[in-house]
Amino acid sequence: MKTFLAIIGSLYFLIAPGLALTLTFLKNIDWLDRLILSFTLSITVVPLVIIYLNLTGLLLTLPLAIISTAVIITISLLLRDAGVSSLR
Amino acid sequence: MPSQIQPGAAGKREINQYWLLLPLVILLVSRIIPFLHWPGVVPLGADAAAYLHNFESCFSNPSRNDCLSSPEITISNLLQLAGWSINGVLYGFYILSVVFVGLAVYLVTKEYFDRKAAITSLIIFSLSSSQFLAYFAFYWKMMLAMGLTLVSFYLIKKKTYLVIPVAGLMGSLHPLSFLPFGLAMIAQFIFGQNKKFIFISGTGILLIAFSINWQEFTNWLPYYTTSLGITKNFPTDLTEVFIGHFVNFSYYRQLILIYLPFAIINLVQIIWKRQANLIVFYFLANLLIIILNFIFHNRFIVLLDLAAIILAGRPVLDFINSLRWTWAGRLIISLLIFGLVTSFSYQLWSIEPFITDPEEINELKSLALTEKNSIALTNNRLYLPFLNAYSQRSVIELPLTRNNLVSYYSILDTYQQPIYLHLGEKTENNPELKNNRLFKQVSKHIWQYQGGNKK
Repeated sequence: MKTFLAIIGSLYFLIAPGLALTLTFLKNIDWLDRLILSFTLSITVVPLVIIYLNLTGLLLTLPLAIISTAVIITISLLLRDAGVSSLR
Repeated sequence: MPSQIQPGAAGKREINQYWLLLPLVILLVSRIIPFLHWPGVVPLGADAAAYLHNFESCFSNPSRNDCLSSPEITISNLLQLAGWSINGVLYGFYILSVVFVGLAVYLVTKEYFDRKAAITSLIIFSLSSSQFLAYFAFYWKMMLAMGLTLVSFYLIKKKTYLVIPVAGLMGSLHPLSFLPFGLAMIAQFIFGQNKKFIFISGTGILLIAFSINWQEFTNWLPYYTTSLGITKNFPTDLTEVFIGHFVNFSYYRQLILIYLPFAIINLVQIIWKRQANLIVFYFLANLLIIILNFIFHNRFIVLLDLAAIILAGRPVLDFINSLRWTWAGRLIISLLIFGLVTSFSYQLWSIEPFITDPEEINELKSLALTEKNSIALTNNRLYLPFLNAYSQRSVIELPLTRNNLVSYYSILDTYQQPIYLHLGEKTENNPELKNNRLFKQVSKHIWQYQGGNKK
């Protein structure tokens, strides 16, 4: 059960936010590129948000990590739906 | 079994993507072998113990000032919250980072050159002795920063501002890796196109990097303002510290003799065509830092090697393609591959961790069971991370020479007692300490100091 949760947690924190960002801002790339970029963007954007929250006094806890990641995913997908597809 | 080379849509022969699996398997297996070769000890560099200490202490006390804005601590805490064990974060994520760097080599070479060159570069990366040595030294932060740097190059080529968070975090995570990246960006701004994009993204990257880790940047500033950051200008006692913990440039040149000529061929071709190529700028920036002996210049060899591997991919492939049709050509190719594999296998099997005896690790751990107010003592700074990680006691480092024997005891007497001295296998034989009535041997590598005031 612990391993299963760790796998789900890893996919949620290390892939999902980056995947949402690449789906919004990077079109026409193959699946391997998307996988690498999903990991990269997840491992940078989520910690950045958490560090800035830490500096405002909000300490990292599991609920905070889950909520901030969910916000990143939601905003990315909302931007995608709104047709904002380029960060150039 | 599908053929290895398939006709592409445009009529060109395209390489099968399954070829990626070969270097990835080599990469994974070679990085796991040290764990099987050295069971029971910390199989990689001494930095592993230092990271273990930081990751554990910051997870149990996240409000500590130095934990709050540290990117590596945030990543570690996040992974631990996600259910990763401390060893998983320390070693599992580190191996994942190496695979990530490998895939980033593929990604960036594909973007700047082509897919076949990308697979060739990835194969060279997986068999590179210098990259293996970097992995073995346990550069946890640097490994992740290397991957982020390469993906940043990809995002710059794609002209997307997503590069800002990626390179921004890389800069705050590992300022050392940020220096050649920054220099390459400046060169791209001067010589390349899309100046507006480079300027805006560069400004954003700097803002993020400085806002998170301004303290580290300002810590290094005096070395650049007073000595231009060149180690030769430093006082003699600091020169040794600031050359950077990695192989020196002479040894490195021996390690990469097989692919360096190919990297130079590509470099010269690109410069000859007057193309503004970020990878070339990155290579030259690292080379400049190493030749001018900037702070930690030996560490930049790892980054120079990465750029060399990316540049070497295309010429190596052309070389193989031009030779593979003749018997002699195949022989030359086989000899080169044999040389690369042999050199890599030799490094893989001959390298030893700092502590090779599991019993010594257990002794270090046993210090955690001594009196709560005890102090761990070492006379070799290389053991500091291990003592910090395992003893769970205050640690002092006091180097012993024949000249400071008397003052040695008087300094020890100023500390809280009891003091436990650790003399590891890699420490010079210290008969002054080992055969001294003031030190009572507790175990093979631990002595208790018997002098001093009982405070």
